[in-house]
Amino acid sequence: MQIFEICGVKVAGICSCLPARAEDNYSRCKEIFGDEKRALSVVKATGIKQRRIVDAGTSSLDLCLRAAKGVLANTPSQEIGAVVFVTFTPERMMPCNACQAQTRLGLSNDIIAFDINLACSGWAYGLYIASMLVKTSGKKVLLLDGDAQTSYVNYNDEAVAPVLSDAGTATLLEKTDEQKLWKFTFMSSGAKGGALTLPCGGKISMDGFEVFKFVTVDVVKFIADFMKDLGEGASVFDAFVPHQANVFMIEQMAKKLGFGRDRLWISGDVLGNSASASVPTTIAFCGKRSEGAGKGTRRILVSGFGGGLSASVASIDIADDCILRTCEYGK
Amino acid sequence: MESDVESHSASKAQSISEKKFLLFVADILDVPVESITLETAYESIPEWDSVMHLRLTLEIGAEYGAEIPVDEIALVKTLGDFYKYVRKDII
Repeated sequence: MQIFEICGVKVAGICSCLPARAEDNYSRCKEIFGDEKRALSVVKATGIKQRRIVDAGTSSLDLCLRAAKGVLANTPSQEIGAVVFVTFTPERMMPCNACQAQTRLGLSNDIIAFDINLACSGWAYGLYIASMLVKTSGKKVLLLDGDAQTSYVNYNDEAVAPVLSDAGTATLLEKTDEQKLWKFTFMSSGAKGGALTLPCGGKISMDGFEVFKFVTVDVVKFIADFMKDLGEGASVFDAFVPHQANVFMIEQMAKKLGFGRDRLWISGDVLGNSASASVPTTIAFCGKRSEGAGKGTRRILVSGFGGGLSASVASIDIADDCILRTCEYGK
Repeated sequence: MESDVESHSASKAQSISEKKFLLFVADILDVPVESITLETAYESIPEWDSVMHLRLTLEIGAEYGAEIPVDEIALVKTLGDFYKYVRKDII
């Protein structure tokens, strides 16, 4: 296991932009499955009661630009040195979302701007790359992470339609004199890539059981090994923030890793599974009102897992004074 | 003789439990109880897909207090595998 370390970088703010359109999952499942009992069963098994869905024509870029405004309010544009955009559903294949964000946010032409094509594991990848850019540029870096993935869902697909939702997030990173060490590790399992795919011009398709097996066996071990490598147990963390794949599954995962329900941050029950944006969305959604707020800085364990198949896990800090905000698109 | 009686009782108790377990599972799967046995395997009936697999884990846990560790859930292949966790908790 390779451990990647970053020191001297902090989160200045995280904002999540959610589509205003909330879809009741039970009603949608009744339409998909055609019977109430099955619909109830699916809602119970996924733990997802409601999901946020973009209106036709709204892109991952639109959501993330709105989120960016939530963290850039007091930041002059010349302080930004890079834009990194994590998405697997860019507005266009070319130009990339990051370059469009650069111009639409009025940022300097003299910055690095690029996309990272990753799905549910992506936020920690983006956080690591963006943190390195903070270190090397000395400037603030804007990490955008979002998907309008429901535009790529077959309306009646029983595996993905009751689970997936949309969100766009913005995370602003800056240098700090504090010597807090962030640690990351990553896993790529390309041989299992066929379990979760989005072919060009097609729709998202998932082998539910293969992905489930990957998450509950491989990813649980991956996170446990990371904690072991750090020489630290669950007790040192103020919170565990996993990708919001499925509420029941992440509850079981947290339990196995030693996190009680009080230190598991969940937003998936009311916001659904918004791919890699689900981790920063959950931090923005739960961070303000969670246990541990008020103690200055909270140490959290974040993990994403999914398409690739790939996974990420990181030990990072979130200061209480950083901006944590959610907003809605379409209102 | 005594041990035979005990064994017979234990076997009867187990068989009732199995029957109850299958009735419980049939209700969740929404299939006739006659259509399933402990040998019924994942995906051998259309009703038992990955989402239903999670639901079974959840409901069996709630009904019987059977704790299935998260990294063992995907290794459960048949209803009999689920039943082993139920029996383990009963015994």
